[in-house]
Amino acid sequence: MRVLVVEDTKSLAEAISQALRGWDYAVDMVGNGEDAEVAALAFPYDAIILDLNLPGMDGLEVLARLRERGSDIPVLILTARDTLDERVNGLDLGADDYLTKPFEITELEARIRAIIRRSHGRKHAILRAGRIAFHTVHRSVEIDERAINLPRREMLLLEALLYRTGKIVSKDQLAESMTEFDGELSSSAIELYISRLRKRLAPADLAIRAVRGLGYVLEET
Amino acid sequence: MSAHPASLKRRLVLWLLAPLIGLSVLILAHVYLSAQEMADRVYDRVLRGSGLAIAERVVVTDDGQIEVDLPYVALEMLTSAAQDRVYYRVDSDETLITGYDDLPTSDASRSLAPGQSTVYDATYRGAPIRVIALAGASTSVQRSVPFTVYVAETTQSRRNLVLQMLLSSAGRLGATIVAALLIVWLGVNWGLRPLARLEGALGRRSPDDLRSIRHDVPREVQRLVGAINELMARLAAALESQKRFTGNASHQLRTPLSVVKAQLELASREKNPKQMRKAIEEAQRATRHSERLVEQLLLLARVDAEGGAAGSFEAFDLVDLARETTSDFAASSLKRKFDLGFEAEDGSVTVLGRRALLAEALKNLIENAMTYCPENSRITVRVRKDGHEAVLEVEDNGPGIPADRREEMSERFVRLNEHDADGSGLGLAIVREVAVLHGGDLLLTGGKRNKGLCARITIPADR
Repeated sequence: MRVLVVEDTKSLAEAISQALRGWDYAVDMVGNGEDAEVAALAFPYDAIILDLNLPGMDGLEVLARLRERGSDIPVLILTARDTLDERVNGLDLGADDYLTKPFEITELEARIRAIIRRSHGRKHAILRAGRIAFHTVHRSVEIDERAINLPRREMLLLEALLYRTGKIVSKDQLAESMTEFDGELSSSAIELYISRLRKRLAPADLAIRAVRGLGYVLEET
Repeated sequence: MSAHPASLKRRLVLWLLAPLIGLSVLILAHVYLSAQEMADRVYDRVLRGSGLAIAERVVVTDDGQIEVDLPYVALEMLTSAAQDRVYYRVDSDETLITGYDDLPTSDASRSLAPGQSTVYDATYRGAPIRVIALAGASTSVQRSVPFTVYVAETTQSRRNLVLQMLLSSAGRLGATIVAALLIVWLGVNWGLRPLARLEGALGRRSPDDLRSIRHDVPREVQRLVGAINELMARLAAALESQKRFTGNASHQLRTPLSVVKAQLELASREKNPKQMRKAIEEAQRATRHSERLVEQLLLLARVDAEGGAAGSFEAFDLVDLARETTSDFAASSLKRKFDLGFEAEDGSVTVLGRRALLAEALKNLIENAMTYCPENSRITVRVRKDGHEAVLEVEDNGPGIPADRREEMSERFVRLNEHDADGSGLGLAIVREVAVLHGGDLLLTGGKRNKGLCARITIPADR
């Protein structure tokens, strides 16, 4: 999971990032509208947290431009102006949810999880496939109701694949969904994590198939 | 406004009613007089006729005695009229010949020359009467004997006639007044209908609908509606700026609060004491920031409130105030390695104003300089008198403000650098509004050799 935080108050952006990184999400921070647009179009974010009051291009404009360019990344709006107009405007422009400042970090986290789930057509907080259950809230994995321990990277890979069960996910997409601006993950590293994950999932009736030249598909066996 | 606002309708009707009634009284008086005159003319002619008929029949007998062969027809003429009673007498040499001897005569009637006549009013047997006296002379062969014929009738018929004419006139006038009032009442109602529609439309408006009124109204009310529209426009503008201010203020306050909440939450999750401490420090910083912001907002509200109460100004020495305020910063400026200086001419510069607010303004300017200037910068506070103006300025040699942005910097919530999380965007706005409150202004220019910033408050000096 990779989230873009667009917020010009640095200490708030950092607090949000720190909270999201706490559940192993990759987080990028930008402080103005122009950077937000560039980043959102360049990387496969799972969600964007967008403050409306930004220097230069404001949040609503960023949102409008993203939607115009066909980006359907779920967007959570942060606003300090609690007016109906602003909320309605934001939602009408294609925001998925909004949160009024000041907010509770736990609520922000829950809403982010919810918009990510919704964007994949899921309603339940537990992702299931084969005999595996992935709890998105406390981030744990069970096979037949027995918890198993997964290293951080494998957990992220599994989450990304589970959300897209039956669909092809490219190696680049997987790599980028786990890195931040300054990080890099080679495709051979992805291959390594995938092969480890395969072994762990074998007893759960799940297989990760490689489609040559395209990527991976998670399938129930 | 009075407790009972006058009704336009009632006022118009009253204004109309009073003169109409006055006029009617005059008309009725005139009618009364002329009716009386006419009745007298008509009835007196009949009275005279019957008097003449009697006079015809006065003869002198051969022995020189006067005799009257009373022609009853002559009296018949009179008694035919209503219930009036008729009296007569014939005198000769002021002695009664025949008739009612107590029928009153008058001075004029007793001194009539033959051929003359007089008419007068009198009272007889308790009733008003009208009397005609005709003097004549009856001639026999040898001599001519003078006599006077009196014929009188009670005045009931005359009074009836006058009363009748008076009543019919009064009836017509009354009808006219009622009709006029009715027309005015209806006319005003009809004329005020556009106002009633306007009232209805305004009543149905939502409280924040301050669009101008676009109803068809009579020309007389157009100026009133124009004035209302102007007021509405000003109100809308004030409301809009208030809304913008509240919106900005809420944004400015909510953001640091978000930081406090988020950082404290993180701190409570953190197991690493170093990280926890960092989060708490961030929260403290944000708390200080919002505290400062609240102070500034309250100060601004105070300046706004003072705006309406310029009467509470006091006279004080600006040099004194500037010296005191600058001294308060001495310790912190030394600690942060600023070269803070104070320059003032000898003597005092007396101004009229609010000492506390001007002190806050100066504090804001010095704090600004100390916030945005690098270490070892030179900050100078200056007071002087320039003609009738008192000048208070703070000059520094720091980074300054680009010339094209100086104007907007004294607007509320405008910050030079939007990323500057510490600034509230209110400091210079407060300074300017304090200056304006004192009848002056704030001017931002470059410092010496166009380096740094010079913020100059100019207000009228007390003479």
